[in-house]
Amino acid sequence: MPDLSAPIKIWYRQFPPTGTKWPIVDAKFSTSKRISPQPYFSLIDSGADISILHIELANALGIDLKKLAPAKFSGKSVSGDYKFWLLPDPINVEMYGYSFNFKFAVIDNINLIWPCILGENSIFDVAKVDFQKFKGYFEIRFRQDIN
Amino acid sequence: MKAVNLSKILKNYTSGWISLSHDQKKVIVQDKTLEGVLEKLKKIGNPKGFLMKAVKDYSHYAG
Repeated sequence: MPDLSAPIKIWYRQFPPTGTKWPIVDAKFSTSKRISPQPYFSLIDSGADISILHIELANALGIDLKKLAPAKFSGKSVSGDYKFWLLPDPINVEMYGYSFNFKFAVIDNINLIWPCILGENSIFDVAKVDFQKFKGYFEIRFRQDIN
Repeated sequence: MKAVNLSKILKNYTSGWISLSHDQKKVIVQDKTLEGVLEKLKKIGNPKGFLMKAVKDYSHYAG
C-alpha cells in the first residue's frame, strides 16, 4: 500500500438552481502550447472510466482536433451514446501542489456542463478519495510514490 | 471554511463561460466562448480565479 499524503479537505460546491452539491476540484491544465491562467472547476466522477475535457477547453489548450480526424470512438452514458476523440498525448494537470500527466478524451458535445471530468483513469489512480457528502466535504490523499 | 454556495452568484449566468473571483463571491468576466473569457482575463492581467461553464441548471446530471 503506497504512502498517502495528509488529507486535503475540499468542501462540496453548491450550484444553481437548487444548491446541488458537487465534488469539484480546482485543476490547472497545460500542454506544450498553452497553460491555463486559472484552474478549472473539474468534477470528480467515479462513474466515468475515462477522463474528459470539454471541447472548448481542448481548443484553449492548443489541441487541434481536426488533426485527429472525425470523432469516431463511441462511448455510453446515461443519456445514450456519444462520440469522442482520444487525445494521443497526456495533458499536465496541477491540483493542490501536485502535478500529473493524465490521458483525456474530448467529447463531441458542446453542451457538456463541466470543463473537465476526472474519472477512474486519472485521479482515482493517483489518490484516495473519501467522499463524505453528509458532512459537506470530501478528502483527497495523493499517493506519495508517484509525485 | 464551509461549503461554497454559488447558487445566488451564478443564477444570472446561464450560458457561455465565466471566470469566478478567487474568493468565489463574484463573476469577474463572462463570454459566450471560453476563448472570449480567456481574452478578457488577459486584458485585465489574468487575476486569480476559477474558470467554469455557465449553465442554467446543474442538477439532475448523471454520467
